[in-house]
Amino acid sequence: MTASDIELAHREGYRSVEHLKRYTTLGMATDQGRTANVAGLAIMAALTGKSIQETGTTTFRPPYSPVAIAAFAGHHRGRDFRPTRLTPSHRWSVEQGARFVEAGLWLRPQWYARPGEADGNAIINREIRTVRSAVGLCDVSTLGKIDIQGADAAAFLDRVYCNRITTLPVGRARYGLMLREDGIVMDDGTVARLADDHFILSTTSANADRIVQHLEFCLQVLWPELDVQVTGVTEQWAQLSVAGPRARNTLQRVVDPASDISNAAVPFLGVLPVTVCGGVPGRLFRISFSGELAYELAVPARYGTALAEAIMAAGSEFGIAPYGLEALLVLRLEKGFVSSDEIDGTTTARDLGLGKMMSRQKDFIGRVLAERPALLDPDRPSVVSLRTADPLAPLRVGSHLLPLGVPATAAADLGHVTSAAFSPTLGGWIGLGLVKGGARRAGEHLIACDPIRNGAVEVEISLEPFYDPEEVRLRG
Amino acid sequence: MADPGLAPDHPFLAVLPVGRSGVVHGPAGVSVALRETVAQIAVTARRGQDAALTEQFRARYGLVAPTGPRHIVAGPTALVGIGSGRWIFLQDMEDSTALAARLAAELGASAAVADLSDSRCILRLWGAAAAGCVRERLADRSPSQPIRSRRCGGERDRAHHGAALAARRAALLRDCRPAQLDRQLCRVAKRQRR
Repeated sequence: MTASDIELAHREGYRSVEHLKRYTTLGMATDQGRTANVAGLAIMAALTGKSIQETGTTTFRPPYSPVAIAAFAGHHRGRDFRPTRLTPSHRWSVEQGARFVEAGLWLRPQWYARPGEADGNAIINREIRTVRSAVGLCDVSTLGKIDIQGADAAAFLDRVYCNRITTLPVGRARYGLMLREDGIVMDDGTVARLADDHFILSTTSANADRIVQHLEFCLQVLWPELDVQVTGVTEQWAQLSVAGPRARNTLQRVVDPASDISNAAVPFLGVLPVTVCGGVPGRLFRISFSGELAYELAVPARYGTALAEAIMAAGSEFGIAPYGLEALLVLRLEKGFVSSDEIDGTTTARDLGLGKMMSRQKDFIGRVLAERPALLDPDRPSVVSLRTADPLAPLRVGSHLLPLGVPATAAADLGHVTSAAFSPTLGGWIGLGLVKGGARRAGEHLIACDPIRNGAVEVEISLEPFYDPEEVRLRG
Repeated sequence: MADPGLAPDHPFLAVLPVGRSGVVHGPAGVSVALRETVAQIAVTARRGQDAALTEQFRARYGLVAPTGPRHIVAGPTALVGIGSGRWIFLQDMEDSTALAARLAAELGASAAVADLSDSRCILRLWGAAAAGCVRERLADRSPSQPIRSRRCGGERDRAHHGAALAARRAALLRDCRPAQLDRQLCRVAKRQRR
């Protein structure tokens, strides 16, 4: 502002310095009135024939003198900008040659390089082949874990998950989907029933705290009449996934003999309290994100490193190898499992191909607004599996999907690639994508157009997972 | 628990430097030690059972359950109030799983019990500058908080001051560099207060 603004304010009748301040913004700049404000008030004093003291001053607020932005930042710089969270078996992963990648606050093993290995893609492919043919070990401790207890726990979970939980038997787990109030998917994970009134939920790593908050909100605001207690226990447990056709053989050497972990005793989605390695308490979940026979074994966090070492020793005869986040994501792509790339805050259960999970027998958060006409539009983008026509032509995440033979324009856009990777199991590039009316495009060919990286590749749509669609291996 | 074949590995042991840092002459201003064997069990009152649970605490363990962010000590046990109807039950023992199971059995239908011993860390701070360190570096806390109200207590009190500072998330603190430590403990303290 300028001196003429003060004069204009005076001509328009402003006399109070507080009014002058609000009319002209005098004293509201970065100096907070310490420099220009004094001069401005002097102009007003001259115009009114008063002293500055008689004219008055506005309230100065700190900082009264310039402060370097660095002083506000303090320690929050560089690697200290935010805390780094490490899993209980982090030290073991370091010893195994892990390269780490940031996943939220967590450092997660991206892959495990053996001596002499330098090519990340080759390492990832080796890890995938090991899981598919033998057995692999993956640290999944970062997944959120929430302890739910109370007489109304099952009824409560029926209200927060779109699928039914009350029918889940003790000793079993179920995949669950939580919706936001607006009908969009909020998070996915598993629900394991340890007792009639005791459940353990798993959430995506990034949403662990948010889901605890959400559940507390539901209990404190929406349904305070329910007898339910929520405790976040993510850090209490080290959790390791053992996946592959030799997973059971490996775990039978770790889990104490008193626990029967045969297929009959612990079928797919079975849950069993166990002790491991001579008495350490643990929980065994037969859950698979890889599509293979797989278990997740949880022990108190202090035993995470020792458990990883014990599992590796037990699986050495079967060719066990640790695998990282990259291999895990390729394994899930081969199986067609959605992840945070698809649960992106815009997709509904139907968009994800999970519409049948939405119970029609009960109420749940998001039920009403999920039925809005726009969310039922059959032309909404929905998840499909993608495979390149030329197996060696790279498929890029973010590529736009267009009909064959049409110019690459926004008007022709049918959707985009959400996840993509080279599958050593299938010998080619695969992915998932959100495509308009995807459910009726099985077998259709599209162009995945990537103008930023100057690429275009033909892809075929599939509605079936590429790997083990009959789930024989998963349930073996 | 039988003698397990798995060796525990506490993440803080890799963080806390052994030996002396900073000024090398005279008595240490602040000493820090990790308390590894304190079981920390979350106890939450079932709906409508606050009074019954409070009475059970008193009758079974001689603990008058605090209604705010305070701690109460009775013999080998302590309670730290962490919220409405929520406490952390502390006891010095190695087998926290067994303690959690015993508490669940004893408190029955009046409480939900969850072992948090592996998700929180307790540090014992002592020395001439310990109170100042807590006040200046860790706390911008209300008068009701245990650190300020009990900072001149004995050894057990100090231990439970540590409990009040117990890491909300052990992973937050895991392998953090010493430069990060103060700030992260500040965050922990704030979380605890909430």
